Amino acid sequence: MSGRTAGPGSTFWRLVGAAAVTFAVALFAIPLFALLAMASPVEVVEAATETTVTDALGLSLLSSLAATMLSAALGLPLAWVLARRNFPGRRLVRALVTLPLVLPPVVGGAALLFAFGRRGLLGGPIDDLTGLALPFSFWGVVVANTFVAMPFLVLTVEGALSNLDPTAEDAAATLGARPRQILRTVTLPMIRPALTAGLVLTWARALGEFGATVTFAGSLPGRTRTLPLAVAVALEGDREAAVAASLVLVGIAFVVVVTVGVPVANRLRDGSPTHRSS
Amino acid sequence: MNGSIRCTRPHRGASCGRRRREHCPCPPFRASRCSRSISPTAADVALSLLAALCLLVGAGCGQSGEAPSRWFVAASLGPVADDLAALVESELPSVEVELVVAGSAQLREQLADGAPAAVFLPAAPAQLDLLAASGRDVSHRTPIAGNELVLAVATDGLAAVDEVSDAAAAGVLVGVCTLGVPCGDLARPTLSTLGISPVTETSSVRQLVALIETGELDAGLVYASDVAASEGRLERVPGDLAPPVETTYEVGLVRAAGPSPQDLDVLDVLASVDARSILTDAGFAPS
Repeated sequence: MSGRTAGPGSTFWRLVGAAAVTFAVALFAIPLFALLAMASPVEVVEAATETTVTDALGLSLLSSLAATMLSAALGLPLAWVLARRNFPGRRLVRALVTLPLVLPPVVGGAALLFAFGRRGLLGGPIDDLTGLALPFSFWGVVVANTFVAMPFLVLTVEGALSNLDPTAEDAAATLGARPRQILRTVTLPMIRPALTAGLVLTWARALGEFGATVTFAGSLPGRTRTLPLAVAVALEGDREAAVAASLVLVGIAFVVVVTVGVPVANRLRDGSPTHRSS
Repeated sequence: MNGSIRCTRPHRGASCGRRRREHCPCPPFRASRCSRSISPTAADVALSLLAALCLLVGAGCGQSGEAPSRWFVAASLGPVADDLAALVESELPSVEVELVVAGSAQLREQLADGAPAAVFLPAAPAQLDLLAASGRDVSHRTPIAGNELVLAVATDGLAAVDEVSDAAAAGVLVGVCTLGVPCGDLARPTLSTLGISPVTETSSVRQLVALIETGELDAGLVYASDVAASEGRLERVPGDLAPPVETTYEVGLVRAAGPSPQDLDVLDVLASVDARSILTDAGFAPS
């Protein structure tokens, strides 16, 4: 579109750019402001301390932390293997890990149900053998959260490991360090910013999960109704509670961004040694 | 999962019409014919944006110049909504019906927020009361059908639920609609009298039906009409729910500018004997 008469520096394109920036900022700012303007602080505090909201908040914190831990336990070895081992099908595995990022969460939830539901591929045998049923249970919420959130951890850490300068580890090995020692004293410190970012992103994604959770784990107050699900229910009747629950989520997200997200982003941007190629 | 629920968010651009319409109120986009200049003018940009918006709106929700008759229909009426719409369109050839089928409470909330619609058909009259209380014009309320909550199980279900009281047994997974949704409000007294602890709550009865039909749940409190519409996949568990739980479907005309003559004609057809026979054939009670 940019022609001879109107280069990127022309007044017209500058105006278009300014309009785009204004709209972009407004797109983020106006809904947030509208949410804050929806209810009086007193009403929101009152609604936020009701058991429907506090129960859901407790459940959300518990399930998202469990999902983050599960993601770390399963995802960090996976990230290491993807970054350091060359094996047939590696690209396929990476594609599989990336898929939940792009997939609509409700599709993920349905897929989980087809796999681990009572009539599912594995759910039936598991139920018969152990009596353990994931759907409509707390662990169903954790599995749904992990399914959706773990890719953030795997891909962030894998990226950092792949971009790591191998000379430091080689030097440590030359000096006689054992593999575990290298991991603890060289590798982990070098990928720490990415690890922190990955864990925070994973936790935040798990905390906000809706579609996969409601599809796979259902929505029962006190058991599987997390805060985002409580917002959806409250929107159909109790607006104050919906606003209160939403503001709790916004508050948590804000604290996360300010205390962890921004420093990590800055460290990554300022060219930490772990990300020389990015 | 929601077989017959086509659009739960009508005013956010999801595809929600029975038919898509291409009539567009926006001005048509014209490429400038005389000017060979490569640089677009601000007006060109604005026009193309308008055209893009127009396409989005036109393809999404069929904003037509002649205002189709858009109905917001309770999820439990979903199985017969197409038949009712077809009846109205055959009786009134000038009318084109657009259906939005979802949970009554969700629809009410969207209407209260100004979603454009002519007809609201919730699963409980209380939803019309609540809508009117929110300030939206609700008029010409007319009951057209009744329904009854029943305990339903999948015909090939895993757990033994032979009578209503079995639903309270340990290990029997029972689902129910969430509080605030008509089927959920109706179910509350039964839950406490029978001592049932549900394992999940859904925001529309059709989601619950799907969970029972696929065997994820053993049983659920759904409508008699849902059992009738399941083509044998669901069956009603013998025994009465105590207290008996019945509801009435009332049509309300909810056009923001007040009902149009066309809306009144539509209402007449919906309250006609033909409509009633469609509803009773589908397992609804006469109003």
